[in-house]
Amino acid sequence: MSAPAERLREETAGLPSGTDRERENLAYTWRKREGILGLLSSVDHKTLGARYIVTAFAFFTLGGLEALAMRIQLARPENRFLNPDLYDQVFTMHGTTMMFFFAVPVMLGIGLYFVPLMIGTRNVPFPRLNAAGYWFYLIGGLYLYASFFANGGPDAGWFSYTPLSASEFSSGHRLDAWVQIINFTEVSALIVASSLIVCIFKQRAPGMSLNRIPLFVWAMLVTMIMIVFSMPAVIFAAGSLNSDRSLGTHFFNPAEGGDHLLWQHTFWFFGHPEVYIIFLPALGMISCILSAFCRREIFGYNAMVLSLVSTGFLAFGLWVHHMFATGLPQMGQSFFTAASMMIAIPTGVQLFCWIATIWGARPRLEPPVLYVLGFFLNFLIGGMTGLMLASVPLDLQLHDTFFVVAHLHYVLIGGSLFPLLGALYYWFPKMTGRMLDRRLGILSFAVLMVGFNLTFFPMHELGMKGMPRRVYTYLPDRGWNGMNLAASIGAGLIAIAILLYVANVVKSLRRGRKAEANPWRAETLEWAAQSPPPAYNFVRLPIVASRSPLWQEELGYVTGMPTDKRELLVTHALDAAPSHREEVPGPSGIPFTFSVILCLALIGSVFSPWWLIIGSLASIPPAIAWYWTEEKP
Amino acid sequence: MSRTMDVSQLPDAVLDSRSLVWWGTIIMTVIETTVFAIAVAAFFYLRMIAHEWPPGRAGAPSLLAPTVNLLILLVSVVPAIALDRASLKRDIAGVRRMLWANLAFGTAFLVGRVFEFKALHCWWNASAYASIQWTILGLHTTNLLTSLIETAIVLAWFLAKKPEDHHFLDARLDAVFWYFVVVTWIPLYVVVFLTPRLR
Repeated sequence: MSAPAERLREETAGLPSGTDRERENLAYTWRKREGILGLLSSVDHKTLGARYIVTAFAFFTLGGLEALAMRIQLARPENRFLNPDLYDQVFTMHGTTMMFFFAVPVMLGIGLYFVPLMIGTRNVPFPRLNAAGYWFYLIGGLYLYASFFANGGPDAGWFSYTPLSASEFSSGHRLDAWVQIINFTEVSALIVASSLIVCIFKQRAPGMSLNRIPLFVWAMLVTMIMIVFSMPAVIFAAGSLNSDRSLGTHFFNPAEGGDHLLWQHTFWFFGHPEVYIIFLPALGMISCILSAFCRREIFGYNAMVLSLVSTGFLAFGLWVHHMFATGLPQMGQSFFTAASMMIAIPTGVQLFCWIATIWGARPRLEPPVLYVLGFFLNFLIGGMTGLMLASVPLDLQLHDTFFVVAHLHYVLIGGSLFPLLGALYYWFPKMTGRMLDRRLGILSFAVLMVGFNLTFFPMHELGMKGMPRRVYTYLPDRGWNGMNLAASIGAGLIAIAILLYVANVVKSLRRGRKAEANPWRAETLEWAAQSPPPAYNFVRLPIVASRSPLWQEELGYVTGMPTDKRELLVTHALDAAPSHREEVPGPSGIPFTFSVILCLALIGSVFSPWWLIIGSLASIPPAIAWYWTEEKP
Repeated sequence: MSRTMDVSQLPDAVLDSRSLVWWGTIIMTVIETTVFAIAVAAFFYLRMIAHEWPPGRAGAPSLLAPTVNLLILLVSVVPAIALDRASLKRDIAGVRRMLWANLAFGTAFLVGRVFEFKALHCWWNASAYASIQWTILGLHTTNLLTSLIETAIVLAWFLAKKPEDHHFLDARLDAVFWYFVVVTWIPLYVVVFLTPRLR
């Protein structure tokens, strides 16, 4: 073997780097288009995944600015920074942005980027559909913010309860915008979910039987299946609200036999699983980080997988605990209290498995591990307050107070954002070929930890003292002043922590230390690709013989994959034995055209239902082109 | 010594449940079925809280047109199965014929759908009952239209160009999607047209 080839082999962590000719052919076959057209036509899972992540963080920034605006407003009593109307819009935009445009899409993006790499394949099964999904998401977000900046931001909270969101209390197009963006984001989530489910079942590297799938991939699989079963509920809910508002149906009009609780049921049947859709991928990330930095497999693989699966099931039996204050039958309350407490069991099992993994392992205290430790503390608090809220008498007292705000932020930021920031730190070298700066990483973690707790811990007490959520101001004699000021200072610290993180990314992209293929000496397959991975991911597809392929033996590899066609190796769902090869389409501008037309139709339908019909007809030609250009994109 | 595995001899297309598109189609039907399930749940929820179901003005839907249309749909399974088989045999002429037949049955059913809407005896904006009835029918019609457009596109390909293996798979999946349209309609027919007659 020549010296450069030897070096390349090291760069791919033991996987053979192939001949120059193989690499050249693969690079040509899987090439991207250049220029603007290339930008609009990319179908590579890594490009799309990275776009989801970057776009999601752009929305995270906007949602964060809205949070800051609220904290400035609440920093002292009777403040006049935001007027009540704008405050309503801002808290609705904050929740909508963070839930629909940051938390879910960022997880979709990470799944799209890393799942194919971790299971050893070259692309997702329906690349053009995925491209369309991303455009849906982006256009939806732009539309929402265009409305907001035109003083048309939705103002009924991120769960838009009727009758507040019905036309009698919300004329104009504010809520119409909210209803439409739900469709945009859910369609994109369903597309990614379909792709990743098929990808995980059918495209795993030979030998990666079900009991060898990395825990992160298991977490994504359960999450994607949850998306399939939960998103239809909110599509139905938003569709009904839309038709109530624009076509005169009566789903939520009690005078004609409709019911407001129908909205709450259909929304929360989606809304509660949504929380786990955000949370489960984070659990997978923690397993990745801990095994890499403890240098051992996660303790209790079977228990971990079963916990993920049972969390997925139980998450569908909890939605009514958001509705305890609506006067439910007692039997129903007891059932949903029990279910809400039960879900602590699988989460507890996972926590204990992680502790057992760390026990005696002396993990290297790199920033990703710090974020995981931060998760342990913060999420524990969030979980405990969750158990408190699951009991009906307490919930009735604390419903719609700042206690709930504290709880949900401990669960979502502590449970999801901390692991996410750790995982991005962990995977940054793979995505960019550069290492992040360790000192800046530790600093931004420390500031975040302090800022986060300073912001949200006092809110527990505020809630106990009766401060309701979603009020734009309060009187000075309530005894809420000090804690509100503390929370506002904490929010500033969170902003500084995020700025430090971003500064670290920007600095490291330019001047960071070059990353080798496997800088953390981790065990999963994404580290066998170069950093950053080429468009085709692996010159030769890996063969797996254990749960920790890069730790165990020299990797086996597949031969005979054509280098002149975009082909995937399809394997059987259970044992991952090779079944056949299948060609997937390359770059194409059709998904972009298709999604722009459909998005315009949906946005137009806010103003006249005819737009929907015109748009549907106009989308038929691109649909035909989609089919007819399948071979030669 | 590293292990290797040669996959060059494996088939590069399959026409059955091993293929990626097959799985994608099945997941799509699962998503759509979930939408129907939610709509049916909403139907029974509204029924549960209603004082009068269906509301007096509307009365129960007529049965003649929906039942005739159901029969058309049930018979349409025959050409769908024939399409499925012809695709497996890669029989171009058979696939063309059966795609035409599917298109004809689908269109007939679509025309019948107009009379089904009429059989409800109410507009969507009359009451919550009317709204959910129209929604369920509308959702099913969306799937019906999708299936018809898909059939037309695949048929156009089979008429204009020489089909390859994966086009035969598409023709099969067209039949599979039609099975879905038929199978979901049977319980929905019961919900929309029969249950309002129950006291």
